[in-house]
Amino acid sequence: MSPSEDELRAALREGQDGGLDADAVIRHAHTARRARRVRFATTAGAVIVVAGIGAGAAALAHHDGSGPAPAAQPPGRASVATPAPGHAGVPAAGVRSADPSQCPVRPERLMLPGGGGTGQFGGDGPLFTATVNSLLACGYRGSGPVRAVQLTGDGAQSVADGLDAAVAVAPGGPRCSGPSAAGLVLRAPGQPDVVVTFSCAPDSNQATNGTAVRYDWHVPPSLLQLVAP
Amino acid sequence: MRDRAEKDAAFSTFVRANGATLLHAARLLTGDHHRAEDLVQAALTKLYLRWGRVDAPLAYTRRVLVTTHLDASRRRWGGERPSEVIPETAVDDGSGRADDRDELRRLLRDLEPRERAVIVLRYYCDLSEQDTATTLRIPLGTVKSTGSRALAKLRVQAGRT
Repeated sequence: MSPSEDELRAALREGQDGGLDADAVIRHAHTARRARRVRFATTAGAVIVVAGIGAGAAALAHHDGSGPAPAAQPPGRASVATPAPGHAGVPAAGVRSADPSQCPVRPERLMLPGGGGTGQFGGDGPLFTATVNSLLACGYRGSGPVRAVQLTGDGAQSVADGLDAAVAVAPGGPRCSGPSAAGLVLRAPGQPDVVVTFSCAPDSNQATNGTAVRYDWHVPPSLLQLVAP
Repeated sequence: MRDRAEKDAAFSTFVRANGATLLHAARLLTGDHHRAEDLVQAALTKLYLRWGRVDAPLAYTRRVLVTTHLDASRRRWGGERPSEVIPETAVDDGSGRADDRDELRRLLRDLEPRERAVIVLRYYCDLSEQDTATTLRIPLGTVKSTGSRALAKLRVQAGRT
């Protein structure tokens, strides 16, 4: 036998009988859909649980200080040190290098209120009289170039708060005397400049805007680097 | 709820109109009634889940049917292979033409899965070579060569009986 195409067609068609139960197919499809949804929900639930556990572990590690080291900051961005315990006014974020040409050529010499005596009237008033959203910090060190950073947002306000929180009365006891060659000018828009002059140690300083005065402010590392040798 | 009822009604109409053809095509492809039922059920389930988003339901179901079968055939490597020695011989009871058709369908099972798919689509579903190529997602030339090779095999095998 050598089949022609017609014979092949006839052979293939033979025996075609019976239909299908559409309702059974629909029931099967609904079951399949339910099973697929359950599978999807199970998978999604597992992913969420795993992600939650991962996030929790990461948060705990970060809280314990055993987490991974923070990624390097991009160039042109000043480093922001983690605040040491007891240090106030450390900017948390929003620090970037700034153009020193915006700074005064040298820090203005401001007279201390009442001639520098302790507890003078007005000396314990705020150094910054309004909210500080932006703060230009200019560092001076001898005849070296002026270095500047711009603080914004919470970082700027944090520095202002920390400075205002410093003591308004000169601490008693032995102090190193004699001004150092370092100085810092903090310039907030619309407010008088605050000039910080250092004595022999970074934490031995006085800050004034000509009206109020603060002593021995714990300078945040990101600003301290402006006056570092 | 009403949408679902309409969808089920339309789907039932489609199954009533095409179910027997699809089941027979699956039977020709698999050579086994139970596997054919499973294959059609799987294809129609996929169709039901996509109902309303498929432009040509019959063409879609045919494509799913054939590709699912070919995928399964690849996974069952060695399950069915063409053989020079035919293990079963037809018993000649003198019924002539009907036996020839049985013989042809038995020989069809000895073809490779893709050859069988081309024969079923071309000579049972009456698709053109181009439509067969589209359904199987293979080039037109491959359909032609596969089809002529399959026919040649059938003629050789049939000539021996």
